[in-house]
Amino acid sequence: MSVDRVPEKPLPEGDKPGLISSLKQMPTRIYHSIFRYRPVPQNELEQAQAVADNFFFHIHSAKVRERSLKLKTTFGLGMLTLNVFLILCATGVLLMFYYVPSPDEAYERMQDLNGAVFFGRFLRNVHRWAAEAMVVLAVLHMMRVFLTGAHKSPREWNWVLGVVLLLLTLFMSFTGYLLPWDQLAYWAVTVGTAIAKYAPLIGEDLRYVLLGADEVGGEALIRFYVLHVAVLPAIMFALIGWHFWRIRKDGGLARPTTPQKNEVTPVTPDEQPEYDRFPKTEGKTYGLMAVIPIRTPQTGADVEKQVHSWPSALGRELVLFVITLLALSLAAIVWDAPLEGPADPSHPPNPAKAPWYFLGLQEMVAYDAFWGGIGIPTIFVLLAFVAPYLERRKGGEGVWFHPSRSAANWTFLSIMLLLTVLTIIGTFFRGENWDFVVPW
Amino acid sequence: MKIRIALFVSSLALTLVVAGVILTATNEDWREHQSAYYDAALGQASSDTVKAAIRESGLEIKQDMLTGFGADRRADRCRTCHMAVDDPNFVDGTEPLRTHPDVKGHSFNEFGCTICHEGQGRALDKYHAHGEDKHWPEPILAAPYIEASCARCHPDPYLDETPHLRRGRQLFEKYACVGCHKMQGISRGTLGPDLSDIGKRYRIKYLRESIEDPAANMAMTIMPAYRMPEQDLVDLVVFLKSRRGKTIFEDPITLRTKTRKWKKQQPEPHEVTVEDGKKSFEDRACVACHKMGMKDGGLGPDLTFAGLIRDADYMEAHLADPRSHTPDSNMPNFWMHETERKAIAKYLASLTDYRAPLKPEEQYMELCARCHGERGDGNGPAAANLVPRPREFTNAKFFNWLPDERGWAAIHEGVPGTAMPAFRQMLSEAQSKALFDWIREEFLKAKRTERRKPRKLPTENPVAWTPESMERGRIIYQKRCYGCHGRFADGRGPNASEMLPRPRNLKNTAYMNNVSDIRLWESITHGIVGTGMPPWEYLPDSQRWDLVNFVRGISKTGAAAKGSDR
Repeated sequence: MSVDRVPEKPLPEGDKPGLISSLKQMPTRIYHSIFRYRPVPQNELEQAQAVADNFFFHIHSAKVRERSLKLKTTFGLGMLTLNVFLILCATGVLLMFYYVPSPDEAYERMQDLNGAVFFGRFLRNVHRWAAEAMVVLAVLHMMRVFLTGAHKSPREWNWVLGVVLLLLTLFMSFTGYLLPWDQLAYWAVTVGTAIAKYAPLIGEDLRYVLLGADEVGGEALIRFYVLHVAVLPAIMFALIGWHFWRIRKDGGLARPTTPQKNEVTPVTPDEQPEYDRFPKTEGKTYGLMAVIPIRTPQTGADVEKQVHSWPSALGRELVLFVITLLALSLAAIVWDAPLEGPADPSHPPNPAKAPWYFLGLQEMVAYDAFWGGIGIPTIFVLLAFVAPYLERRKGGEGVWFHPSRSAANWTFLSIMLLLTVLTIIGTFFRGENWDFVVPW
Repeated sequence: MKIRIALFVSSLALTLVVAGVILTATNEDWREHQSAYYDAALGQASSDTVKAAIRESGLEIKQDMLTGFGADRRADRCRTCHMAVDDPNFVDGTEPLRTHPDVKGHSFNEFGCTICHEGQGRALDKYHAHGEDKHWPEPILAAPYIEASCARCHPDPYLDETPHLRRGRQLFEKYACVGCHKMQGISRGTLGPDLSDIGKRYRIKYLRESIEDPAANMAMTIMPAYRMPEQDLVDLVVFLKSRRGKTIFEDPITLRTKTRKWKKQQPEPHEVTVEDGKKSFEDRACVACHKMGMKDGGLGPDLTFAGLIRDADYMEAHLADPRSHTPDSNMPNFWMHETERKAIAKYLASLTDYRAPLKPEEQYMELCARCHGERGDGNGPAAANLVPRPREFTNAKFFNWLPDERGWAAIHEGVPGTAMPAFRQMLSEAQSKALFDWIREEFLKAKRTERRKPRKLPTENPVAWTPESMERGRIIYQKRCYGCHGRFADGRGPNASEMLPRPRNLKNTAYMNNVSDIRLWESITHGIVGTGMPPWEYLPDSQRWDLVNFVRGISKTGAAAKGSDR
């Protein structure tokens, strides 16, 4: 389809395009050279084209199912995670202007951010709370996907990508944890990397490669910094792109094979179709569409209700973004990001705790170093990777807690519950020498 | 439509929140304190220029960057709120706008605040800056405990000004702490923990608690609970807080000069030869900064003809303490042994072979240009390292006012207390005069304009020097003079860095010895043309004489030299 550009004003007869008329038309021409499209869509075709023609919008198809936009379908968790990631990138770049990854200066820069830099404290708070929020949101997003069966065929690979992204998010958060170079950061990373030591054979080397030394120090700081601001964000950007692309190529959000009545526009309002698949009978010849080895096209089926991406989907996403920003700003005003005393390798706090999302692991390490720190987490991660390949039976896609998937759902939920409980215990119920304490 | 309403409402809320953030970010407490300071200062301002300057000054973060403490780099922003610490007019003010009591020799630009007071120097709100945050290792130290900070540079034997510390040191033995605890250089007990750097690790509260109830912080302790009078407890804690391992000033060189081994290695004083001196001069790499013949470090004065401009005694004293003759000298102390100092001084004094050229322009290039610059702008290669800075000959106003006799005398006799030597062994009186005249003509590009009719000067100081007169002078000084000459009269006031020539260090004894009461009075009364010194004619005559007496008193010169010599 050709682009429906606004036609240029024709020149008067016999007039050559002169300088004056070029200058007069320049603003319009510049506008239309950037925005390939008419200012406001006038009809459905233009509305579809508005999305298809725009570099930023065309991540969506021209139309989306009404169902996908319902709050309870996704709770917008994936989108929220993306929003938080974008906010992290923006605030992170601004923070980079002030930060110096050196043990001598890092902490001083934090102090500068807290007082002397205009907006510095706000910026740091937003970045900190957004980072914590991203971990939570990514996990919730994962739970939503699993509990609605959205990881099943043909979306297996996108689930795997999602698990990789979750691990990257954790690693990203962990590398960022060290950068303030205060007591909290220093000892959290010391404990966190100590867990890696329990891995058989490669454990010691792994920790050494990560820290660049036997102890957390200047080398570790520069490594974590480079990972945090360059390597990991680049990988995440690429994977997020892939993740989104796959959503469309896998046919949009997961949905039941037979849609609900209120989600479709019946083809013939008075007569329900008798079949929805092309019937195949032995001893007959069929057209090409009947023999190709893919799912048969639906004929005579109801058409699912669809709406234009612009403005229905994009508008909602914009609102979601503003709300994310609002929530983070409020959090940044109310709570200051923690900053303890400057890192002091000779004075470990008691207890020294890992970042909160690793406290479940640390709690398990307290019972058994290898199984708690390496064995069980590895099993869980592997389980997460292979989950969509284990669960091959069809059915239950796009439905919360579908009865046919109760075994899978309960297994998943109990693992998540276990990890949550362990994390809560590790965070609130562990005091000096990792003794059980009651927080109140 | 619903989406649009949602978008509108959420955007509105976001705008409000951002506006709130901007509002709080521009409404910090320090802005209030600075405004209050400027308001108060405006009321006390002495002249319209000062008022205009105050009105023009905007609110800004004030910061002292302190690099004088080795690896311990500090940035103290305390003066952002505590604006008045250096302003003597706020003696009766309330915190944060109050004058800091005078601690001799400790200037704010050099020492900052946290080196003694602790707290978080970089923070700008009270909660964090005063270290009230439980995570900050060193909260601000209250009254007697601050003595612990003095010991960071003034170790045992403690200063007279730190009685608590001194008493705490005795109590440490009286209460037999030495029996169980180790403390570097004091005791070797092994039963209890090592206390050598206890002050660095724990806060006052913890230290107190550990003496009163040792089990409070360590359940398994065998230390007995001490019941002692409150005064003893405080003094002991002051002493413990002062134990921070090393003191700050102990750089490797200083430490080496204190060891018994180093002292043993040093030869006994004996007769030295010029050759010894020459060898030391080369070993010590003096030419890394100074010039000697063809070798030139490009930083310090030319020593090629040292024997003609300084004598051996001067140079030995200068090597023992570079600030003995020129109180603001930049030269480091190399802690040489007396024998070595004597040898180098002897060698330098022997350098008398030099013959000055005959033409004034050649004389200038060889003798003067190193400090005063080839273009006479006071910017020679060595100028940056000389305090006071070499005079700029391009300052037409100043040189039109300066009596020629003083110019000639400066060349012929030198200017004591500065880097300007006497050239009388090199140049005859006539040559000195010729050189000065050449300088005037070359750099001012004009003949002297006729001086206005001579000022009527008094012949003697009508106010006898007494401590009372000096005290009156001090009060006037604090009102009128500290802005440029500094609170400590060392020429380093808040405005000093913006002035050329710099304000005079009024404590420079050697220089002030050479200045008569009459000349001081003239400088105060009429100001000094071509410099930042304004005339103070409108002050009553007696006040000006009090100021003269104040300068005499702090520089310990003239009439005050006999009276106040301690």
